[in-house]
Amino acid sequence: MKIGIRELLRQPGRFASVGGALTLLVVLLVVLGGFLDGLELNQTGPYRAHDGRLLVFSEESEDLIQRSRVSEADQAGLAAAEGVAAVGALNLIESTASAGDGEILDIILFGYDLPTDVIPAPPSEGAVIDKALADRNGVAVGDQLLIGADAAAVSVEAVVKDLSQGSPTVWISTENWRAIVGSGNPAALPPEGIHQALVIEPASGVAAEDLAAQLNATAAVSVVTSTEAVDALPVVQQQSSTFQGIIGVTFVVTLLVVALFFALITLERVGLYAVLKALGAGTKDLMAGISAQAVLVSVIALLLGFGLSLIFANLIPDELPVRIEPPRLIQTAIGVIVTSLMGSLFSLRRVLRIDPAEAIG
Amino acid sequence: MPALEMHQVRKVYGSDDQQVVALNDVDLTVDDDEMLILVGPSGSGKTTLLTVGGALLRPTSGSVQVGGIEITDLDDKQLARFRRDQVGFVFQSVNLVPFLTAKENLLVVRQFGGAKVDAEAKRRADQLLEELGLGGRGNNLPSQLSGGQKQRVAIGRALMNDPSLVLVDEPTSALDSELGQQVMDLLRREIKGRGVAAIIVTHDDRVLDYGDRQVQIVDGVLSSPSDAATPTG
Repeated sequence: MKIGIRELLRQPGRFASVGGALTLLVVLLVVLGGFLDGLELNQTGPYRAHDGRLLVFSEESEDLIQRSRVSEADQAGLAAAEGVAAVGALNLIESTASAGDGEILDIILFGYDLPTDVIPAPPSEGAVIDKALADRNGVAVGDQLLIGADAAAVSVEAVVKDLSQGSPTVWISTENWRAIVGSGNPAALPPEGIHQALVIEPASGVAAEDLAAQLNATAAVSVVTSTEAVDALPVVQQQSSTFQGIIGVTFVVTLLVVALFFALITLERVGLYAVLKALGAGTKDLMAGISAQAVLVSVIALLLGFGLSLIFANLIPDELPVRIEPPRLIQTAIGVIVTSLMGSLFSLRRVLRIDPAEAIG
Repeated sequence: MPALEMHQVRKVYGSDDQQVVALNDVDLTVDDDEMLILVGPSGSGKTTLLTVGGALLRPTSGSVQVGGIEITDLDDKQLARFRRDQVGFVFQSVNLVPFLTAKENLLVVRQFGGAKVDAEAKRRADQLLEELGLGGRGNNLPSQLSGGQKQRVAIGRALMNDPSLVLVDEPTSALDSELGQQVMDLLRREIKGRGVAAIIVTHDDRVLDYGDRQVQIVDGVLSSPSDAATPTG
């Protein structure tokens, strides 16, 4: 293994081609992953804001809030169940908002009852807005927003992190939400005693997943975790499968690039490997050297690729939803290293066939 | 105990009517401190004898014992370990690892099979380089060494693991007359000084006198140059 590493360090030029190719592939993987995460995060903020809580939809809704209707009777039944600390309503409507400058913005207007780790308790009159709205449109705490067709005035009382669901989000109390929707778009207002979804806060020490299983066994509604609610979104499924497919193909290309490079370099080194075998090296020793080179090249390519990806992500316009997230970088790093390792093992057959007697001729 | 004992060793390449007999029922014994010079024309079987004796190639039939160990029974893994521990090679074209320094080329044989290079191995490499007149060249890459210096590093590598048998292939073929003589002097001094057995394959008449004994091989058959008698013993 040491021999392989020494070769890489003393003759880096030999590995420049595969290192360069791997670096570009890492940039591609990171940017693709960044787009996937950006698009997904851009569509799922309200659900991620409810991590650790459970969301309740009607059974036939396929866990989509726009299709779901749950009653206050369901709410009362769930509130009485063991392991439940609180149950609140969650409703949304696509609407518009105008800040003082007259520009009309698309927003998603949420009515809610329960605070989460991200969203504070609903203000009685005002609104909580997310960072996407604050950053993009210069709205700050204390500003007035005019919501919906009736231009209902609400005061911004807090700004929370980006909770976009395609558009920026505005969060107001359920009571206020019903008043604004009932006035501006009465056809979209659920009947009294009906909500689109419910949010359950588990009692202290109760795992959300366990509570969901318990409640699904008895209640006539669908109780899911926030992750399951995200996975149910058609837009997330489509984007995820498309990008995962492209990322998968990129990993296959990475595998082929590494395999081809080390196959060629092994052909070049047949004489050297024959000498090393004659001196007592086993196939394991030689493969350990090749694999160490593949891993080291991929680590260097990962560092360069991550750096270039961060530069690239900072250069592209804000409208493009690229989000470089640490879990994606870790996933890419592990994937590239494992793929490179596998690619290097393609040389095994050739190394096995090298006859040490060739060293003498 | 002889360093090498070959009994009725036969090596045949090819099959059916394409068969070439490279070694024809060879009997050869090399004592544990003997320096044997093996001569013969091209295609006579010198290299095959070297590869069979060095556990690089299995014979078609017959028995080969190195240091009392029957090597024809060993599998590939055992043969690799055996070569690492018991045999030293000096190749015709030197074949140093080009990206390792002179000292690392000596230590390379200590790294195989998961072994680690310890302080003792480093001391031994330094000592060997010193003895070979390369004390100040340990950190030089092969490209920074002359032909004679490379040959000396190759000799050091062959001796690094205290082998029972050293096999040397055409040590002077790429060297001028003076350098060839220096290398042979050194080789004899190092090998005889350690009481190690060696087989030196050569075409070079100037090398013949350096051995304790000469053996000729023609068409896979061994004979003494003087009397064609069986060269065993």
